[in-house]
Amino acid sequence: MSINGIAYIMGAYEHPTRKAPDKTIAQLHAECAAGALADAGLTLSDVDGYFCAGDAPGMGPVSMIDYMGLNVRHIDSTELGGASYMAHISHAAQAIAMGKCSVALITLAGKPRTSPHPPPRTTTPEYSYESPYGTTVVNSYGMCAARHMYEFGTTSEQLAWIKVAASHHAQHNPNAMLQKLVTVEDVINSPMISDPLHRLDCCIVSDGGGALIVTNAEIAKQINRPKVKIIGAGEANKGQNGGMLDLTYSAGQKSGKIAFAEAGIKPSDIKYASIYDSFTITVLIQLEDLGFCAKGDGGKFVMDGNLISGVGKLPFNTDGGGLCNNHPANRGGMTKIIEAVRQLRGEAHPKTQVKNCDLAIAHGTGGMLGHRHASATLILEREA
Amino acid sequence: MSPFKNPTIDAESQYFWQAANEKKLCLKTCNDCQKTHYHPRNHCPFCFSTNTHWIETKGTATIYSLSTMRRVETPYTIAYVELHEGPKMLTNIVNSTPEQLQIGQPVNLTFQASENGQLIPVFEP
Repeated sequence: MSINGIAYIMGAYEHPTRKAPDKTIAQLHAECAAGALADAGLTLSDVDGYFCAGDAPGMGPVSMIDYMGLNVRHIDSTELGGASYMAHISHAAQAIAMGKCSVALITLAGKPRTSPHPPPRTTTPEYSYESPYGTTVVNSYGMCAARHMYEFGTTSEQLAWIKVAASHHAQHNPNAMLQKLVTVEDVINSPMISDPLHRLDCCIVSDGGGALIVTNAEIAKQINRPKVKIIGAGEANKGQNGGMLDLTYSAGQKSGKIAFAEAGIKPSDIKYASIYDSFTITVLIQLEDLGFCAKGDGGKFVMDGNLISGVGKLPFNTDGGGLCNNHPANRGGMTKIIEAVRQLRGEAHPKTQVKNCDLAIAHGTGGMLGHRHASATLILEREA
Repeated sequence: MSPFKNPTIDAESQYFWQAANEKKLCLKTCNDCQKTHYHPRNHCPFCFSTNTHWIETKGTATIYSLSTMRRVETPYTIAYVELHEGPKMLTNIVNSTPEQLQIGQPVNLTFQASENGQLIPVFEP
């Protein structure tokens, strides 16, 4: 049994805000839900399945379903950090396959830019052993980058090309937080945050949100929008493995294999890639893990504009990604899926639209690459 | 003021932190699968046995990876070190400048006090 061909993404909406001091997180979730429903030509009463992750306020779906006035028969609050939304799409397709729902709504929203930092989760099993050492997101990824450079000779200039490509795309996105084109020199001359990652190796911090609608085949047929078919999905987890850790690869190695096998296609068939970009190193390691190049060759692969739409072999994050456009709730998975949907519909910005874009990947990582994380991969196909 | 926050000590980590106050870095070895793991916990993460015992490390290691946080008042270096006993451990490298440190370098165990005097295992060249 497989989810290949069972369900379709028929609604997608990215909130235009990047700074929302006067809105609540619940309100942003609801505005995103309304946007995605309008995109699909559906109403709230059509929704019979609801999905959200740890960014949802209160007790997740218990709070949000009541707040929005939903009446559903299937609920899922899978929490895999920034990769949650890829898993939600997969789980929605599974629920649709089993007849548990027919129209699934997935929402994300958050205000990391204008809200205070949430307190640390002090009851996690590792907290006692890790909290004294000053773990942050950026030094966790910094250690991955340092080890990748040590083992494979990857350079800061090569990592910088990833940001350069994102900025090439963001210059065409009027909603992007950073629309300025940057060069390799700009990146490596920006201040060092945590070695070897510079300020411009890091994603932005933005308020905002997004939502997606997944439907069964019958409802998809009635909607007058291009159909984006879900053909493969995979999930995996990777951590310190009792101290036997290896920082050079991610759980994407496993989740990608599962997703490609289910879809019955190869990485070379992919026309557009949405790749989680919390940092430049995140993209490089995941591109290797997903099979777009051999392990250790990521540095060479991303150079010379290979990720720029219309220039390189693998156009990536054509909205500008988390590096330039949007990283709502510090969770990049949702916006990755939304841009993949735009590309498959032929609705990306004309300057970044990939020609004949019929197969796309959206890949997310949640948690911290250098500590413990989950990966989730989606393979999507435009149905003619 | 110490740069080290006080660790949150819980039922599973109590022995580890008491040993640290005696300047010992302790890990757990499984009596069933014979593997040593870090961080210590009640169930062996390799075979799920609860039949484990504490061991004291020699205190020698090599740097597996590192990153110096610059965007703070006092920069500090976080690292994974590969312990002589096998597992890699998240820690800090102290008593050195970032320029003196590299992957593969041998480092030795030392201890520094947190804000409330709890000794924290760290490493130095």
